[in-house]
Amino acid sequence: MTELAIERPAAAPELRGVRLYWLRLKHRPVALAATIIFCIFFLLAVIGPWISPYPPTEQDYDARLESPSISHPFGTDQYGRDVFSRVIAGTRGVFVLCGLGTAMAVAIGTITGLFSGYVGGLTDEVIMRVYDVLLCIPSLLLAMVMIAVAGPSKLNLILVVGILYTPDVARVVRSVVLDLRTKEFVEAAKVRRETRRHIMFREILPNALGPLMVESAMRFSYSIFLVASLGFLGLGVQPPSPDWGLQINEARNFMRLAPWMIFFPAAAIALLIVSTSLMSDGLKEIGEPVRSGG
Amino acid sequence: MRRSPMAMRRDKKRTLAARPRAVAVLTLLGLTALVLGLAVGCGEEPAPSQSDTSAVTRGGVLRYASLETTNIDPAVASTGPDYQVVRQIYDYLVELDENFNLQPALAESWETPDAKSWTLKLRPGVVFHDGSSFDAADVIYTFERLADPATGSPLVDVFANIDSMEAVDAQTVVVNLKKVDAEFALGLTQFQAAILPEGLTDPADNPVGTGAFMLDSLEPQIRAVFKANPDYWRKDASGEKLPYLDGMEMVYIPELAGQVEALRGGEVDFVGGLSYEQAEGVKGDPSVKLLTVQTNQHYSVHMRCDQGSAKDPNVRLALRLGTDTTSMAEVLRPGLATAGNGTLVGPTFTSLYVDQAPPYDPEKAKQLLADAGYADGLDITIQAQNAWGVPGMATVWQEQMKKIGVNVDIQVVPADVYYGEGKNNWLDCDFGITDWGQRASPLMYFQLEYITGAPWSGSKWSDAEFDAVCKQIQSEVDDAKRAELYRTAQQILIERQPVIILYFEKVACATAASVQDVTLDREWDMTSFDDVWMTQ
Repeated sequence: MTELAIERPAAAPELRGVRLYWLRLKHRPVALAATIIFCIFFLLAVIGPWISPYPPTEQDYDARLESPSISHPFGTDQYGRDVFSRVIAGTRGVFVLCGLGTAMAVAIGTITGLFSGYVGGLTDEVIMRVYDVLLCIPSLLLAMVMIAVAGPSKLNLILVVGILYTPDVARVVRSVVLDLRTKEFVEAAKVRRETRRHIMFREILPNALGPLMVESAMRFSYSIFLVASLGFLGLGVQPPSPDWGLQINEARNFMRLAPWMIFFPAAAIALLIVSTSLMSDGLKEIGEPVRSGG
Repeated sequence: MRRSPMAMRRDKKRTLAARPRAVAVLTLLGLTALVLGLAVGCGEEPAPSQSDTSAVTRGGVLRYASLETTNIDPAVASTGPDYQVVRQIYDYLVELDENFNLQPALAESWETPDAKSWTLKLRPGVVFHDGSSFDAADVIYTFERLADPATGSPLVDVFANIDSMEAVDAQTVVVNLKKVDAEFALGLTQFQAAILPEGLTDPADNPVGTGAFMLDSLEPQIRAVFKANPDYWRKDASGEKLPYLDGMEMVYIPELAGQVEALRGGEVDFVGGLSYEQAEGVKGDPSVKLLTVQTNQHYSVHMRCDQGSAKDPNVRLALRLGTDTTSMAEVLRPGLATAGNGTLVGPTFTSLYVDQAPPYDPEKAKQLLADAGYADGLDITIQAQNAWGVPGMATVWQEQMKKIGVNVDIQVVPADVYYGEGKNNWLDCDFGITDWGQRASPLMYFQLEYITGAPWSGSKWSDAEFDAVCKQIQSEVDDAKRAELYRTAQQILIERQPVIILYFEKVACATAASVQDVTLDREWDMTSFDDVWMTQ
């Protein structure tokens, strides 16, 4: 998923390795900054529990609604919980839920997009029409209905994200496949009597990696917003989980008394979404110059 | 053309900047004018006293921020917004004043020799919104409707106790009860006992009452529009017509936080049920007035007695002893709540309130749980409706339960799901947090919530001794003896009740500064606006 974006080189027939990528990135300050911020969040998600100064759900009634200070850099909430620790703890939740959900969408979307685009015909029509139905319903609404039916749980959230974003990924992959399947190297593979599976995954897919990775990053940033919105609406993870959306919901009533409670989780969401988007834009730019007429 | 140096010096002198003394004088004059102006402009006009009815300004439409109504048929109305609508359209036979004394409304008197046969003398000259006159037939119709199980009213047991009714004349009804009910008149003040005109079968769609306001239109999830009743029977202290307002509008705003912001922005004039932080937030705002009233509104965690882990009464006792209600009141609503101390008879029931320290003994709780076989911990799931700060209560309770080895999994659900028909609603779940409004007497809560088979019993509790005491309370005519029986009932509850009373609310409501003379009812949704007025 997101690791793909960092470790693998920009997709192109002439793979030149991480060095090429890094070189290009250095000359794009916005994308570079965005990537660094993203990496910081990722790092927080991994090492969060070890560096957070307080347990995220620990209540301290003597330290309620304190404004930011040395001992509580982001202040405390109405139960005396440290907002800084909660924001860090929420990072892990975001990456797990949104990451796994996006991964599921990418996996299923890639396979169905490849298959649908390559095979064509009735199969393609049927699959694409099913996806069209999913696409025309507003995603938050559909997510709310699915959670209302299945119940709010972490697994259901991952499934909802996966199901909702599969059609977008599939369409992107399919459009690349449609473009590539008439190319000569595909013809050559057919002549060599390669299996369909080999052609799809070994010949076509590597060429689709560029747009696919950009789309994955976009989906990841959309899913952050979706999960936060569901958490805000009370349909995501349950209290006292330090989910960012849930934190904003709980902090709403304290906007005038303790604005830091709502500011920091909201800033975290905004920062992560923007940095992911800018990073994916950077990826796209970096990928493009290398693809020559292919 | 160049000017002479002399001329230039003269010109320079004419500008204000070159004449420091003039500047000083002008500044001083200006500041003085400013200070005087502020002093005059900010001077407060003395608010007219309540009895000075000549200072009242008539007119205006009061906009009331409201949540969604579910069913405005008074017999079945069960949510706050329903009460808000019902209260303006209908009247009751009797009303409770601030000291819990009965006052005449549509009934002028209610005599009984034996608490079994009640003679109600009705107020003459009252008309319904459709022009028909109010008389004994309407009262009989209303009571029969409430007693009919098909109507589905939670008061069905109270009114099914009626053996026969007789309209002696147009203004007199004699009600004969099957069993003695000392609190029958008190029961007539309950929300659902609004008086309907005879023959009205669909008050939910076609409300007709005798109240101060008539319902002009109701668009669900948008607004309800009320017009003043020109023939309203109640008059103010000087004999002038009521209501003072031209009308009211209940504006649907789905979130309490949004309602408070709308009030501050001048889009609505009344918001009720503020949380502690919202009340703190509006304190400094000069365009908003904060009103509070001590009520018996409370929140309780109910535990199901017929299934799940709370089937064992020792588990229930352990959970009760492990709940620190004092801390909960202080954290969630400092200054605006009284900690629950073991029963739902709160401080407003002054003569019946058992003023004792809240039972909190976490060590004993842990011991009880260990004896019940949960030494390694107990996992429970609690349904928390997403309204009135309930998720916050669940969060604090969860922390307290951790200390006695109970792991609480919180399930936040929308309020309409919690009170809806689906699975795991408030009457089905093993543990849930319910909000309870004000009632005229504790017996009404007991009958709604605690006796065997009670219609709103989430706990499905069944205690023969408690049932017996309730029956005695109902038939005991002597006030002193009844108070004693109430104390006995409370002792039983303290020992083994199936709910944990978290705290009693001091309700906070906020109005625009232009709104005058609002007397908050203890059930704030039932606040009547017939004698409220607005400065223009």
